[in-house]
Amino acid sequence: VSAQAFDNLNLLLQLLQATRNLARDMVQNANTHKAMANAQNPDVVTLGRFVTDSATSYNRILSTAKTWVQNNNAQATAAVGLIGATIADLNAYTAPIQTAITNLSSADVSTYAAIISACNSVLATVPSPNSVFAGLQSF
Amino acid sequence: MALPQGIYFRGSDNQTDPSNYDAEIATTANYPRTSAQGNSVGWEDALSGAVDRDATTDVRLKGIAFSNNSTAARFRIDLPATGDYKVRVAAGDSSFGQQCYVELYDTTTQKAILVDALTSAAGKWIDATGVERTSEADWVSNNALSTAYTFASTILRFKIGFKFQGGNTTIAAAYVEAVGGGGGDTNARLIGGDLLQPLGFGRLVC
Repeated sequence: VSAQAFDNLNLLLQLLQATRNLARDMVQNANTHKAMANAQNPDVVTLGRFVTDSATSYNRILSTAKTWVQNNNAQATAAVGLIGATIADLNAYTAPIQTAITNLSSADVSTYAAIISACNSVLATVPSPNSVFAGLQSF
Repeated sequence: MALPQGIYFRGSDNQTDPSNYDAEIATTANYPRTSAQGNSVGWEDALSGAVDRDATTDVRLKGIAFSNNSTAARFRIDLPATGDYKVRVAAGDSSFGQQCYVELYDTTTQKAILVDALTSAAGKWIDATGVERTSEADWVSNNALSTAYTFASTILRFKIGFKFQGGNTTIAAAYVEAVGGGGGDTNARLIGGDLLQPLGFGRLVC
Protein backbone atom coordinates (compact mmCIF):
# COMPACT_ATOMS: atom_id res chain seq x y z
CA VAL A 1 0.00 0.00 0.00
CA SER A 2 1.45 3.33 -0.98
CA ALA A 3 1.89 6.34 1.24
CA GLN A 4 -0.61 8.06 -1.02
CA ALA A 5 -3.25 5.51 -0.02
CA PHE A 6 -2.77 6.38 3.64
CA ASP A 7 -2.95 10.03 2.73
CA ASN A 8 -6.20 9.41 0.90
CA LEU A 9 -7.59 7.56 3.89
CA ASN A 10 -6.78 10.50 6.13
CA LEU A 11 -8.51 12.82 3.67
CA LEU A 12 -11.54 10.56 3.59
CA LEU A 13 -11.77 10.66 7.37
CA GLN A 14 -11.59 14.45 7.26
CA LEU A 15 -14.34 14.55 4.64
CA LEU A 16 -16.44 12.35 6.90
CA GLN A 17 -15.81 14.83 9.71
CA ALA A 18 -17.17 17.59 7.48
CA THR A 19 -20.19 15.61 6.32
CA ARG A 20 -21.28 12.63 8.37
CA ASN A 21 -20.07 14.04 11.70
CA LEU A 22 -21.39 17.47 10.77
CA ALA A 23 -24.80 15.92 10.25
CA ARG A 24 -24.53 14.20 13.62
CA ASP A 25 -23.59 17.47 15.34
CA MET A 26 -26.42 19.34 13.62
CA VAL A 27 -28.98 16.80 14.81
CA GLN A 28 -27.52 16.77 18.30
CA ASN A 29 -27.45 20.56 18.57
CA ALA A 30 -30.97 20.86 17.18
CA ASN A 31 -32.18 18.55 19.91
CA THR A 32 -30.20 20.49 22.51
CA HIS A 33 -31.47 23.87 21.33
CA LYS A 34 -35.02 22.54 21.18
CA ALA A 35 -34.75 21.32 24.76
CA MET A 36 -33.38 24.71 25.80
CA ALA A 37 -36.27 26.45 24.07
CA ASN A 38 -38.80 24.20 25.73
CA ALA A 39 -37.17 24.92 29.09
CA GLN A 40 -36.97 28.63 28.18
CA ASN A 41 -33.40 28.69 29.41
CA PRO A 42 -31.20 30.50 28.44
CA ASP A 43 -32.98 33.71 27.51
CA VAL A 44 -34.28 33.84 23.96
CA VAL A 45 -31.67 36.29 22.71
CA THR A 46 -28.82 34.10 23.94
CA LEU A 47 -30.40 30.94 22.57
CA GLY A 48 -31.07 32.64 19.25
CA ARG A 49 -27.40 33.55 19.11
CA PHE A 50 -26.43 29.93 19.81
CA VAL A 51 -28.57 28.84 16.86
CA THR A 52 -27.28 31.41 14.39
CA ASP A 53 -23.69 30.94 15.52
CA SER A 54 -24.11 27.22 15.06
CA ALA A 55 -25.32 27.81 11.52
CA THR A 56 -22.26 29.94 10.87
CA SER A 57 -20.01 27.19 12.19
CA TYR A 58 -21.77 24.49 10.13
CA ASN A 59 -21.43 26.59 7.03
CA ARG A 60 -17.77 27.22 7.66
CA ILE A 61 -17.09 23.51 8.06
CA LEU A 62 -19.01 22.45 4.96
CA SER A 63 -17.71 25.31 2.83
CA THR A 64 -14.14 24.51 3.81
CA ALA A 65 -14.59 20.92 2.72
CA LYS A 66 -16.30 21.90 -0.53
CA THR A 67 -13.60 24.36 -1.41
CA TRP A 68 -10.93 21.76 -0.78
CA VAL A 69 -12.72 19.21 -2.93
CA GLN A 70 -13.13 21.70 -5.74
CA ASN A 71 -9.47 22.59 -5.63
CA ASN A 72 -8.23 19.01 -5.25
CA ASN A 73 -10.66 17.04 -7.32
CA ALA A 74 -8.42 14.15 -8.28
CA GLN A 75 -7.32 13.47 -4.74
CA ALA A 76 -10.88 13.89 -3.44
CA THR A 77 -12.10 11.39 -6.01
CA ALA A 78 -9.46 8.92 -4.92
CA ALA A 79 -10.33 9.46 -1.26
CA VAL A 80 -14.06 8.82 -1.59
CA GLY A 81 -13.24 5.97 -3.96
CA LEU A 82 -11.84 4.08 -0.99
CA ILE A 83 -15.42 3.35 0.04
CA GLY A 84 -16.64 2.90 -3.52
CA ALA A 85 -18.20 6.34 -3.63
CA THR A 86 -17.97 9.17 -6.12
CA ILE A 87 -17.97 12.92 -5.81
CA ALA A 88 -21.58 12.77 -6.99
CA ASP A 89 -22.40 10.54 -4.02
CA LEU A 90 -20.73 13.06 -1.74
CA ASN A 91 -22.77 15.86 -3.28
CA ALA A 92 -25.96 13.86 -2.83
CA TYR A 93 -25.14 13.17 0.80
CA THR A 94 -24.40 16.79 1.59
CA ALA A 95 -27.31 18.35 -0.31
CA PRO A 96 -29.83 18.09 2.56
CA ILE A 97 -27.15 19.25 4.99
CA GLN A 98 -26.52 22.36 2.89
CA THR A 99 -30.26 22.98 2.63
CA ALA A 100 -30.65 22.75 6.39
CA ILE A 101 -27.74 25.12 6.95
CA THR A 102 -29.15 27.64 4.50
CA ASN A 103 -32.57 27.49 6.12
CA LEU A 104 -31.19 27.68 9.63
CA SER A 105 -29.02 30.68 8.79
CA SER A 106 -32.04 32.73 7.79
CA ALA A 107 -34.47 31.26 10.28
CA ASP A 108 -36.48 33.39 12.67
CA VAL A 109 -34.97 32.93 16.13
CA SER A 110 -36.73 35.80 17.85
CA THR A 111 -39.00 33.62 19.97
CA TYR A 112 -38.75 30.23 21.64
CA ALA A 113 -41.51 28.93 19.37
CA ALA A 114 -39.63 30.08 16.29
CA ILE A 115 -36.44 28.42 17.53
CA ILE A 116 -38.30 25.16 18.08
CA SER A 117 -39.62 25.42 14.54
CA ALA A 118 -36.12 26.03 13.18
CA CYS A 119 -34.78 23.05 15.10
CA ASN A 120 -37.60 20.83 13.85
CA SER A 121 -36.73 21.86 10.33
CA VAL A 122 -33.14 20.72 10.85
CA LEU A 123 -34.29 17.43 12.34
CA ALA A 124 -36.61 16.83 9.40
CA THR A 125 -33.98 17.63 6.81
CA VAL A 126 -30.68 16.28 8.05
CA PRO A 127 -30.06 12.54 8.05
CA SER A 128 -29.31 11.24 11.52
CA PRO A 129 -26.25 9.02 11.25
CA ASN A 130 -26.34 5.72 13.03
CA SER A 131 -23.75 4.88 15.64
CA VAL A 132 -22.45 1.70 17.20
CA PHE A 133 -22.35 3.59 20.48
CA ALA A 134 -25.78 5.22 20.23
CA GLY A 135 -27.23 3.35 23.18
CA LEU A 136 -24.10 3.24 25.26
CA GLN A 137 -24.33 5.10 28.53
CA SER A 138 -20.80 4.66 29.75
CA PHE A 139 -17.62 2.68 29.29
CA MET B 1 -19.44 32.75 17.73
CA ALA B 2 -20.72 33.04 21.21
CA LEU B 3 -18.46 33.07 24.20
CA PRO B 4 -18.13 32.08 26.94
CA GLN B 5 -17.50 28.54 25.86
CA GLY B 6 -17.09 25.85 28.45
CA ILE B 7 -16.44 22.18 27.81
CA TYR B 8 -16.85 19.31 30.23
CA PHE B 9 -15.26 16.00 29.33
CA ARG B 10 -17.03 12.69 29.77
CA GLY B 11 -17.40 9.22 28.36
CA SER B 12 -21.08 9.69 27.63
CA ASP B 13 -23.28 12.63 26.81
CA ASN B 14 -26.12 12.09 29.22
CA GLN B 15 -26.06 15.14 31.47
CA THR B 16 -27.94 18.40 31.47
CA ASP B 17 -25.46 20.96 30.23
CA PRO B 18 -24.53 23.64 32.74
CA SER B 19 -24.96 27.17 31.43
CA ASN B 20 -22.37 27.95 28.74
CA TYR B 21 -20.94 24.43 28.81
CA ASP B 22 -21.14 21.60 26.30
CA ALA B 23 -20.15 17.96 26.71
CA GLU B 24 -17.17 16.54 24.84
CA ILE B 25 -17.13 12.76 24.67
CA ALA B 26 -14.80 12.12 21.74
CA THR B 27 -11.58 10.17 22.15
CA THR B 28 -10.42 10.62 18.59
CA ALA B 29 -9.70 13.77 16.63
CA ASN B 30 -13.07 15.40 16.03
CA TYR B 31 -12.28 19.05 15.29
CA PRO B 32 -14.26 20.82 13.90
CA ARG B 33 -17.33 20.00 15.98
CA THR B 34 -19.96 22.67 16.51
CA SER B 35 -20.77 23.10 20.19
CA ALA B 36 -24.26 23.86 21.47
CA GLN B 37 -23.05 27.44 21.89
CA GLY B 38 -22.22 27.60 18.18
CA ASN B 39 -18.45 27.49 18.38
CA SER B 40 -16.06 25.28 16.46
CA VAL B 41 -14.34 23.04 18.99
CA GLY B 42 -12.84 19.60 19.27
CA TRP B 43 -9.86 17.37 19.81
CA GLU B 44 -7.15 17.66 17.20
CA ASP B 45 -5.41 14.51 18.37
CA ALA B 46 -6.53 11.14 19.60
CA LEU B 47 -6.34 10.82 23.33
CA SER B 48 -6.12 7.86 25.67
CA GLY B 49 -9.70 7.91 26.83
CA ALA B 50 -12.69 9.66 28.30
CA VAL B 51 -14.79 8.23 31.10
CA ASP B 52 -17.68 9.02 33.39
CA ARG B 53 -16.97 9.27 37.09
CA ASP B 54 -20.33 10.47 38.36
CA ALA B 55 -18.90 10.94 41.83
CA THR B 56 -19.74 14.61 42.03
CA THR B 57 -22.85 16.74 41.83
CA ASP B 58 -21.36 19.39 39.60
CA VAL B 59 -21.63 18.19 36.01
CA ARG B 60 -18.35 19.85 35.06
CA LEU B 61 -16.46 17.48 37.35
CA LYS B 62 -18.44 14.32 36.63
CA GLY B 63 -16.10 12.96 33.99
CA ILE B 64 -12.62 13.21 32.57
CA ALA B 65 -10.66 13.02 29.39
CA PHE B 66 -7.14 11.77 29.77
CA SER B 67 -3.96 11.49 27.80
CA ASN B 68 -1.08 9.26 28.66
CA ASN B 69 1.83 11.44 29.58
CA SER B 70 4.07 9.95 26.93
CA THR B 71 1.88 11.64 24.35
CA ALA B 72 -0.09 14.85 24.15
CA ALA B 73 -3.51 15.83 22.94
CA ARG B 74 -4.71 19.25 21.86
CA PHE B 75 -8.24 20.50 22.39
CA ARG B 76 -9.11 23.46 20.18
CA ILE B 77 -11.65 26.23 20.62
CA ASP B 78 -11.96 28.75 17.81
CA LEU B 79 -12.23 32.31 19.06
CA PRO B 80 -14.49 34.93 17.50
CA ALA B 81 -11.62 37.38 17.07
CA THR B 82 -8.09 38.08 18.16
CA GLY B 83 -7.86 39.82 21.51
CA ASP B 84 -7.76 39.17 25.22
CA TYR B 85 -9.22 36.07 26.79
CA LYS B 86 -9.27 34.33 30.16
CA VAL B 87 -9.66 30.63 30.80
CA ARG B 88 -10.70 28.20 33.50
CA VAL B 89 -9.69 24.56 33.86
CA ALA B 90 -10.32 21.67 36.19
CA ALA B 91 -7.41 19.25 35.95
CA GLY B 92 -7.82 16.23 38.16
CA ASP B 93 -10.02 13.26 38.82
CA SER B 94 -12.61 12.34 41.40
CA SER B 95 -11.26 8.77 41.51
CA PHE B 96 -7.48 9.11 41.65
CA GLY B 97 -4.68 11.56 42.25
CA GLN B 98 -3.19 12.37 38.86
CA GLN B 99 -0.15 13.94 37.27
CA CYS B 100 -1.51 16.93 35.41
CA TYR B 101 0.09 19.09 32.77
CA VAL B 102 -2.04 21.57 30.84
CA GLU B 103 -0.66 24.18 28.48
CA LEU B 104 -2.44 27.04 26.76
CA TYR B 105 -1.55 27.87 23.16
CA ASP B 106 -2.32 30.64 20.72
CA THR B 107 -2.14 28.45 17.61
CA THR B 108 1.44 27.19 18.11
CA THR B 109 2.65 29.86 20.53
CA GLN B 110 2.66 28.77 24.12
CA LYS B 111 0.90 31.38 26.27
CA ALA B 112 1.12 29.59 29.60
CA ILE B 113 1.62 26.37 31.48
CA LEU B 114 -1.64 26.47 33.37
CA VAL B 115 -1.19 23.27 35.34
CA ASP B 116 2.01 21.42 36.19
CA ALA B 117 1.44 19.39 39.31
CA LEU B 118 0.25 16.20 40.90
CA THR B 119 -3.13 16.35 42.51
CA SER B 120 -2.58 15.19 46.06
CA ALA B 121 -5.49 12.76 46.10
CA ALA B 122 -8.72 11.80 44.44
CA GLY B 123 -11.40 14.43 44.41
CA LYS B 124 -9.07 17.38 43.90
CA TRP B 125 -8.76 19.58 40.86
CA ILE B 126 -6.17 22.17 39.87
CA ASP B 127 -7.54 25.40 38.44
CA ALA B 128 -6.23 27.73 35.75
CA THR B 129 -4.05 29.58 38.25
CA GLY B 130 -2.30 26.37 39.28
CA VAL B 131 -4.02 26.18 42.64
CA GLU B 132 -5.22 22.82 43.83
CA ARG B 133 -8.85 22.96 44.89
CA THR B 134 -9.24 20.40 47.61
CA SER B 135 -12.82 19.33 47.04
CA GLU B 136 -15.65 19.61 44.58
CA ALA B 137 -17.14 22.44 46.61
CA ASP B 138 -13.78 24.20 46.71
CA TRP B 139 -13.37 24.05 42.93
CA VAL B 140 -16.94 25.10 42.28
CA SER B 141 -16.77 28.05 44.66
CA ASN B 142 -13.20 29.15 44.26
CA ASN B 143 -11.73 28.06 40.93
CA ALA B 144 -10.18 31.14 39.46
CA LEU B 145 -10.07 32.64 36.03
CA SER B 146 -6.58 32.84 34.62
CA THR B 147 -4.88 36.10 33.95
CA ALA B 148 -5.79 37.64 30.59
CA TYR B 149 -3.90 36.31 27.60
CA THR B 150 -3.68 38.19 24.32
CA PHE B 151 -4.35 35.99 21.31
CA ALA B 152 -2.87 37.08 18.01
CA SER B 153 -4.79 34.35 16.26
CA THR B 154 -8.28 32.93 16.69
CA ILE B 155 -7.09 29.44 17.58
CA LEU B 156 -6.99 28.58 21.26
CA ARG B 157 -5.57 25.23 22.22
CA PHE B 158 -5.45 23.42 25.53
CA LYS B 159 -2.66 20.85 25.31
CA ILE B 160 -2.65 18.11 27.88
CA GLY B 161 0.07 15.65 28.77
CA PHE B 162 3.59 15.17 27.41
CA LYS B 163 5.73 16.12 30.33
CA PHE B 164 5.81 13.34 32.87
CA GLN B 165 7.11 9.83 32.25
CA GLY B 166 4.04 7.81 33.02
CA GLY B 167 0.61 8.34 34.39
CA ASN B 168 -2.09 10.36 32.77
CA THR B 169 -2.99 14.00 32.55
CA THR B 170 -6.67 14.26 33.24
CA ILE B 171 -8.92 17.19 32.54
CA ALA B 172 -12.51 17.50 33.65
CA ALA B 173 -13.41 20.90 32.27
CA ALA B 174 -12.08 23.82 30.27
CA TYR B 175 -13.55 27.22 29.59
CA VAL B 176 -12.77 30.46 27.79
CA GLU B 177 -14.33 33.90 27.94
CA ALA B 178 -13.49 37.25 26.43
CA VAL B 179 -11.97 39.75 28.80
CA GLY B 180 -14.80 41.80 30.17
CA GLY B 181 -17.02 38.75 30.09
CA GLY B 182 -18.39 39.53 26.67
CA GLY B 183 -18.63 37.23 23.79
CA GLY B 184 -16.16 38.86 21.50
CA ASP B 185 -17.60 39.53 18.11
CA THR B 186 -21.09 38.42 18.94
CA ASN B 187 -22.56 40.79 16.41
CA ALA B 188 -21.13 38.82 13.56
CA ARG B 189 -24.11 37.20 11.93
CA LEU B 190 -25.10 35.66 8.70
CA ILE B 191 -27.18 38.14 6.81
CA GLY B 192 -29.46 36.60 4.28
CA GLY B 193 -27.12 33.71 3.76
CA ASP B 194 -24.23 35.87 2.64
CA LEU B 195 -21.75 33.17 3.44
CA LEU B 196 -23.83 30.46 1.97
CA GLN B 197 -22.94 29.34 -1.44
CA PRO B 198 -24.81 26.39 -2.85
CA LEU B 199 -21.63 24.87 -4.11
CA GLY B 200 -21.36 21.32 -5.17
CA PHE B 201 -18.39 19.20 -4.28
CA GLY B 202 -16.52 19.99 -7.43
CA ARG B 203 -16.96 18.48 -10.80
CA LEU B 204 -17.91 14.91 -11.30
CA VAL B 205 -15.14 12.72 -12.59
CA CYS B 206 -16.42 9.62 -14.26
